Amino acid sequence: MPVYFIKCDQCAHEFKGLVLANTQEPKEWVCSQCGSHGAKPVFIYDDIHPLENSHGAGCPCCGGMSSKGRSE
Amino acid sequence: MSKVLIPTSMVGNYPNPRWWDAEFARHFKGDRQPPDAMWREALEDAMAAIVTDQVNAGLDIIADGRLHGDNYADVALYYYYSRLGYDLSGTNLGFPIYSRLHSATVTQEIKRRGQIMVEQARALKRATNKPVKVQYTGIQVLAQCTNDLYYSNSRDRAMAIAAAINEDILAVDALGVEYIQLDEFSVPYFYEDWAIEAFNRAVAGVKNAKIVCHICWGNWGGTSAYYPDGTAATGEIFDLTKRTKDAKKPSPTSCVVPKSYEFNIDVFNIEGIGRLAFEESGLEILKQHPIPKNMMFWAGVIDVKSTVTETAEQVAEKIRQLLTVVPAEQLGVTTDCGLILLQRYICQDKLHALVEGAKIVRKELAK
Repeated sequence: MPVYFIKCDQCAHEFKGLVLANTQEPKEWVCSQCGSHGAKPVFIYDDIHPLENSHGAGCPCCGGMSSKGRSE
Repeated sequence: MSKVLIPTSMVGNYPNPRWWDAEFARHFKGDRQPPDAMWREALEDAMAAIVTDQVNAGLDIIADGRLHGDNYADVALYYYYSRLGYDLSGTNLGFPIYSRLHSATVTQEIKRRGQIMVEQARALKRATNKPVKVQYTGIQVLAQCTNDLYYSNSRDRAMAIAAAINEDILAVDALGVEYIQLDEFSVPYFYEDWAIEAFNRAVAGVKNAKIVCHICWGNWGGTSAYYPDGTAATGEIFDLTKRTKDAKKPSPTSCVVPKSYEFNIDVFNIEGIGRLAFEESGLEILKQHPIPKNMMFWAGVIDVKSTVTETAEQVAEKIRQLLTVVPAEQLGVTTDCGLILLQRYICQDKLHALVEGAKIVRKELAK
């Protein structure tokens, strides 16, 4: 469940945005304070839940190998 | 509107009659049906059953029970998405306590594609003369759980959802319902940059109904399911098995007060002290940030996860605790959240306890 920490380069307004697991990342971030479409993530917290790795056991792309790789 | 001191009502999903869940709830779409249609008769009968339980208990405000699905996920998310033009495919959300729910995908403009809560509101009004409450899932929740292949940014998506829900809310308002509620159960994590604006867009133009915002700490499987320790970072999915032995319990009210006062609402309703002890609820923050004078504060005093029915005196004691932080004329009491996870016969007793507890305190205040 990544939470993006975003800063507007126009007015320096800082805010957070949630991008839930496996959903499309927004193409842009809009600042509600000044309306700029130029806000940018400055930090992304993207650790996954230990039971919600999309590449878990039985994954059709890796059979779970990539999840093992992450945890080691 | 309810003129009663400390009005009582229930929140969210109520256990539907099982005959409704066995067939009708699985295919209910919200469309208007002719008077001789079996669907219409079924909706009115199921609603009447839910209303009867509340009226028999003596509640002051009668809620819709959110009967439009047979399970929490459909009721809270997928029913709405299907009416907004989403494709219901998606992957696990990875969201604390709701992580096993899946997103829905939007590939076209989000619009109101048919009635959402109108027929339920109509059936509810038909079933009782008491003030009624119609409940929607909140805008932030719906926007966050979207896999968006259409809009370039989350703000445009949220505002489109808000406009679509607003269209339905105005249709429900025109029926003369007394309360319209939006459940924003993801704001305890944080408020998106557009959260307040989107909520206020969704309720813009309402003429008759009082607007309620309900916030709870999660009602899919249990409260409080997400209980990390003090080392959890903002946004982190904390591995709950690593919580330290004596971790301080969360103090949830401070997550939503005073920010929620920016919503255009008449009633602020939070999961209160039905399950959590008053000392753990964080409600003391209301002394520092009092409920605005033009706003009611309704708090939960019934534990919706325990099968043990509260005594009237236990409920009364909880209300007395609430009165230490909220004036009586601004206070209302509810269930913590929806009762859906309990057997219906237990729910009937719990609603009765809610009413009897409020009566005790009203008598005390009248002396």
